[in-house]
Amino acid sequence: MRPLLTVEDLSVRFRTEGGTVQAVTGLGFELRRGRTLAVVGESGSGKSATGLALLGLHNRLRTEVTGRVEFDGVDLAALDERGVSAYRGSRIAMVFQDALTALSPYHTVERQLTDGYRRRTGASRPQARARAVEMLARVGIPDPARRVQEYPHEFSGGMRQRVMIAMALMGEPDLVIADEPTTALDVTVQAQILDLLADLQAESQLAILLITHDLGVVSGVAHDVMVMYAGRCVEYGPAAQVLAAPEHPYTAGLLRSVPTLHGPADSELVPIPGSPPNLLDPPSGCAFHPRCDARSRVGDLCTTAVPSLLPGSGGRSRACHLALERSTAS
Amino acid sequence: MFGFIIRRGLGAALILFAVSAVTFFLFFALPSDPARLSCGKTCTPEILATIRHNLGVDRPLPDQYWQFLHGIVAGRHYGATWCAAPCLGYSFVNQQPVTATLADRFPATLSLAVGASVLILSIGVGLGVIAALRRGQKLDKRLTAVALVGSSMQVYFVGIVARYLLVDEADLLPQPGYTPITGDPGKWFGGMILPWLTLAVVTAATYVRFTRSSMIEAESQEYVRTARAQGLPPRAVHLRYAWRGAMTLVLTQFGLDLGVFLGSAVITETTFNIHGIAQLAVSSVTNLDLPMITGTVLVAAAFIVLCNAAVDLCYAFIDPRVRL
Repeated sequence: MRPLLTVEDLSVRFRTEGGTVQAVTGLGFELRRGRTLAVVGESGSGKSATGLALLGLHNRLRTEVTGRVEFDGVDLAALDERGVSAYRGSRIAMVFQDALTALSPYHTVERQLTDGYRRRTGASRPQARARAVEMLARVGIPDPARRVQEYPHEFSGGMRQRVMIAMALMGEPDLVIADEPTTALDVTVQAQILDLLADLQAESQLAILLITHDLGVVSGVAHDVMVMYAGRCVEYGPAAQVLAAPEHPYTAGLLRSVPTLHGPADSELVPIPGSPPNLLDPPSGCAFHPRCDARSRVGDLCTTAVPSLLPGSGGRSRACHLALERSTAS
Repeated sequence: MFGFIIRRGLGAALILFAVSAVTFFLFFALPSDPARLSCGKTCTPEILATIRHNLGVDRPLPDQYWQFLHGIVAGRHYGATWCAAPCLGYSFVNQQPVTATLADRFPATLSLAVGASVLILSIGVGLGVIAALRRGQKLDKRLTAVALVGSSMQVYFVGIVARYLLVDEADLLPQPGYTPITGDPGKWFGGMILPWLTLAVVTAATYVRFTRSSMIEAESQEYVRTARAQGLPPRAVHLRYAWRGAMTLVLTQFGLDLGVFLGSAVITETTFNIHGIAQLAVSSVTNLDLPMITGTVLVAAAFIVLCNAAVDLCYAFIDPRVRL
């Protein structure tokens, strides 16, 4: 079966006052129905820019997107604003990070849930309201008939995020792009929201692109994971394998910096030294080389050549000269 | 919402009370004796004392303030003259209660302010939204340029030039001036057209620019992106979502500007020969007519407080978070 979403050679460039930022470079991945792909990286790694670029939601005046975003046989990147907007909210829905700022403070939940829906389907106001109430109930909001008339600021953080998800479900989408959907929430609510997404996925074969910086979230819900650094994919593969045995020094570093429940309680957390690169002036060669602890084992190649993403066994791939050295040595 | 209105109303009343106290005591801090002013040339100490007594200025200050407040609520006597409620004092220069003069002059200023506000907001916001929708295009650039020219103009300049060209030379508009609306609505409107248009040309320009930038600012809000992610077309996104956010900013600006408008009313009224309370305030200062000054200040303050309460109400209507 053909994947629902196939992204090939996606690049995103922002024009800023300081120059052109190469936010995403040559990204490619696939996503099938009923699967969750987690996109992981630090802030500034290009993961949110990727999510926005898929639906053309970036500021079009200042952003240049190239590559293919093939959704169900149609290249969304080649469509104009009107063309893409036919997909937004209907077949592809977005869930944004902070529902307090991502929902309008000036409109009721009903208004915001039904505005796009009514436009797409031509449903009457009572029909649309009934659907909004149904969706709020589905995401577990108590007393939805009353709450649908309230404003976002009258909801708690977790309930507001549920409203966001209900909004995404209004159009029965095939794909949900969730950009840090749980980051603004506390841990127990996080788990509820992730469970909710998993339930919805099981019900309707939803494909989920989960953008997160939280490896704990990835291990819980993702089937596949794509690790991004400085706008490039550095490691890709089934989530369980990648998290258990990372092949890229950056992924390994990320895992060492996160506490686990299973390891010894006194095991030390090791942060990755340095900070993410300035994308206005990225490092030469492998963008990760200034922070990489494995660099000494490879040598000059890291500072001169950009490693390409090479496939390995078990559907995994990584972009690291170290792996190349290893495979040529063996 | 109802509680909000009640709270705002009480707040407004409190502010007016404070303003009345400040203006009243300021009145007495000034080195001028009202009894002296109304005493005339052949003034003897005995007559002065009688006048002082009649006016009540020989009593202690708090007592006088109480009398003043009492006069506003229930009316009071000034010697033999009865000043009906709301009595803001008695003008010895005009030989008339202050309230009567104000009632005579205020409608002119009110007509000017209300008509100009309607024009300024509809033109300013309308063109500003259009400019924002067509951002970077020819129309936007033209509007922004015109707005820049407009906002660097002054009422007296535009007013006098327009009056000369449109009224005296081309005879397109009637002579500006104030006729009570109850007397002859057509003539009232005709006399107000030029002042309104002039104020609109000078001030709407600021609102075009302000609305445009507020709209563009609102567009970078995340909820506007959410609206786009819902598949809403650009026009609906702008006019339903971005517009609401922009209007809160425009409204706040308008609330602040009301005071400025009233302050600059002196120039407008003089330019167009409209006898409103701004002119009245200037002439009472010149004549040292203290009760009249107190009266105009109080009425102006009441006007601004009321307008701001109205702005707050609109604000609460636009932004539900304010209603708390």
